[in-house]
Amino acid sequence: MLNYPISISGSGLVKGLRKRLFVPRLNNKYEQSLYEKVEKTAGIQYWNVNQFDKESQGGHLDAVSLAFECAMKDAGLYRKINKKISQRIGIIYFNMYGPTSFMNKEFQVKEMYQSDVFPAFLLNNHNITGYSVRLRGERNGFFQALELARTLIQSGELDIVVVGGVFQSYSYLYLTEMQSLLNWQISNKIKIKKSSDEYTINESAGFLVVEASDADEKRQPKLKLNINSLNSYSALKTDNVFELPSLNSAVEENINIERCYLGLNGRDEIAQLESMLLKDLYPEASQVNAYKEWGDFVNINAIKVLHEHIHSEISHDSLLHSIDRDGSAWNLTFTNNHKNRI
Amino acid sequence: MYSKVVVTGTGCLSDFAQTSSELLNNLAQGKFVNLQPVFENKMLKSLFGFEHDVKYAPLENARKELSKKYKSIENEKVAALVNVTEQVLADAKLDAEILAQKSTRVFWGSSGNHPDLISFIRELHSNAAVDLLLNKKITDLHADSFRNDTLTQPYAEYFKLPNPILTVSSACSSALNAMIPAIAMLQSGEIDRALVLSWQEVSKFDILFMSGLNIMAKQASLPFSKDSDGLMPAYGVAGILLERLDDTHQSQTPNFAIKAMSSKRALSGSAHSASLDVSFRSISQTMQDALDKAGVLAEDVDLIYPHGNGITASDQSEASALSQLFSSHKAKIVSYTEQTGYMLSASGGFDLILANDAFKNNRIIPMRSKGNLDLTLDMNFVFEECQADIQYLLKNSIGIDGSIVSCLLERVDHA
Repeated sequence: MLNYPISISGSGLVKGLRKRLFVPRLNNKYEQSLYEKVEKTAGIQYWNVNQFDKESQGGHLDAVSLAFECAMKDAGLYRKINKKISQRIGIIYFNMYGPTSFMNKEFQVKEMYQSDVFPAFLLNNHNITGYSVRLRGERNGFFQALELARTLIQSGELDIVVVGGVFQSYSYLYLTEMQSLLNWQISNKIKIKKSSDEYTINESAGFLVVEASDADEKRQPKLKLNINSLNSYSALKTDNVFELPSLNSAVEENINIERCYLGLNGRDEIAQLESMLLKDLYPEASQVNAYKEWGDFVNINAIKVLHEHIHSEISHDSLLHSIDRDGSAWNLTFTNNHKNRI
Repeated sequence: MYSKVVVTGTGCLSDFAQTSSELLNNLAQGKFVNLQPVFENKMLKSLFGFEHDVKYAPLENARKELSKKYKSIENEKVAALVNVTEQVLADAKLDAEILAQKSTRVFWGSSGNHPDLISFIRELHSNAAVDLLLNKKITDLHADSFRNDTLTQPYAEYFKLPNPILTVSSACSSALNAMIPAIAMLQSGEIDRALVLSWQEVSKFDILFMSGLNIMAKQASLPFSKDSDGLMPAYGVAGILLERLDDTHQSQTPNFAIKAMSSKRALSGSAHSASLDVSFRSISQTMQDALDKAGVLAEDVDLIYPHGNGITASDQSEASALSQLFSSHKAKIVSYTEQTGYMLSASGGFDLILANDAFKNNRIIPMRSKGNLDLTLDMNFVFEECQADIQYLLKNSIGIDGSIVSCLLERVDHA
């Protein structure tokens, strides 16, 4: 439950531009067998991967650097962090799988450090010296980070928290991730549609600048998103059966939601369940399936949704719902504040 | 300034000690942890490019024993975390049902789940059908081995947690950095209890990473000694239960409160360098900030648990910072890292168990060192058992990511 008003005053997102159709490597039998299994179970034949383009975008750390810079510019904080406020700003960073840099053929220890421990160059580049940590929360990492940011701001530990992370695709991991998700669906009695399908994964880096709702008045950032509520709940009953209706108890009453974002899990069947439930709760609200609209940004999905929303003209109350494979579910309600918009 | 948040229960697990009381007894007896070579197989050693016999304390036997004890838990890492949780709850005189309440949150100070490279390193970039037949462990190259919820989910199910577990990582300062949101939530009234578990396994990935950074000891790990050539990692799990003093049960008699905490990041010189060289000024500022928040003077601090990990550059910086703030004062200093092994993310958690003993029994267990502590000539290390009326205790943690945390603890009087 959110009991302290916070807002998002800046956002930055960098998406991989190198489009390719994934084909398992000929010299990699394990990769081939994983691909065949997923194709057989889920019917997914075409894996489209939008990777970071090394020539025009650099590696994933360059994307992290650029997305962070964009968010800071958006919030009017770029190159404005002096010694006085340096300790009042922190970063909460997350990636999808923890340490993975050794999966790159040409990995180097320095990159391992920045990638797997913490991208310390962000602190150096922007003169940030406040409480900064890395979170492990998979697809729901953003919601945990936002909750932590709110806690740190409310307690007076920090004034501003930059929340975000990166998604890098690794064939072994997204194939086995899909395999696990399908097993999870089976164990939770969610039917799998065996239809020919294609799937798009987007490598991406995204950051949002979070601060107390009344803290940015002097700077007057051009964009501002007020966070109205943030709730977590478990969508798994004790017998490990998936149960979305518990969302009922987690959603705040008396909020007139006009738009619902869903589908952050990446599976159509789960998005349909979410859709049915949200339709019951908010029959008048329009629904946006994030995966169908933009493709799967995996742990950056929520940032992608908020990034699109904050840059849109939509001004009504909206809701973002997310559920991860472990049954942890979050919903976030928010409103665009167009007060400062030219 | 923090209002009174107290520690009401502790627990731990490592090769050095498998309970809080064993930890205290072993230190009081002047014991040292038994370290074992990382690579018993010479081929593996050369595959990873090691010329020296690096050593660690991987908690292998204890994990196997715990797996037998907790048969319903498949994952050894989860069994270890459940064991320490039960120790903490028993120490706090609380039932496990307390964790199933919405007003309790669990925090992990840890880098989280990750696979052991050794399982698939040879087959990582290319493999044939025969490799799949010969190496069944290639299936560790799976998202489940990387996802953190492979651990959080069975743990949450075991204790029926209603809230998500927040896993916070800031390298070796993770234990203390996980306490900061826990304390904030307690003070805002959002929760009534916070269980903070800090842990880090030592996998071949960690060894490779630390060796790449040239911080693994080749000969000896002797914190605050010039003879030290790196750290000797140990797999450790430490747990503490935090509650507001006003809400503690009659049967609980907490010995100390978290008076103030300060968490900062040191900036390193160049944009893309690893910030291993945390400056003494940053450490000094962080300690001073904790003292300022508490309204306590350096001269009032009675005992200090430094971070002291055996990496000369890091120890030198911390020694300089301590010397700057405390050299002319009475503060005593003890560091047990050489005896227990370096617990990485959990190191701060282990020291809070020792703090509990220091406040409770008015004693300082003497430290042992096989080296000459020549980085700290003017500091007041304790090598003989002594009685001490400790009012304030300062604990430092320093992470390889440039994070620095100072935590000031204050005696709780029950009179």
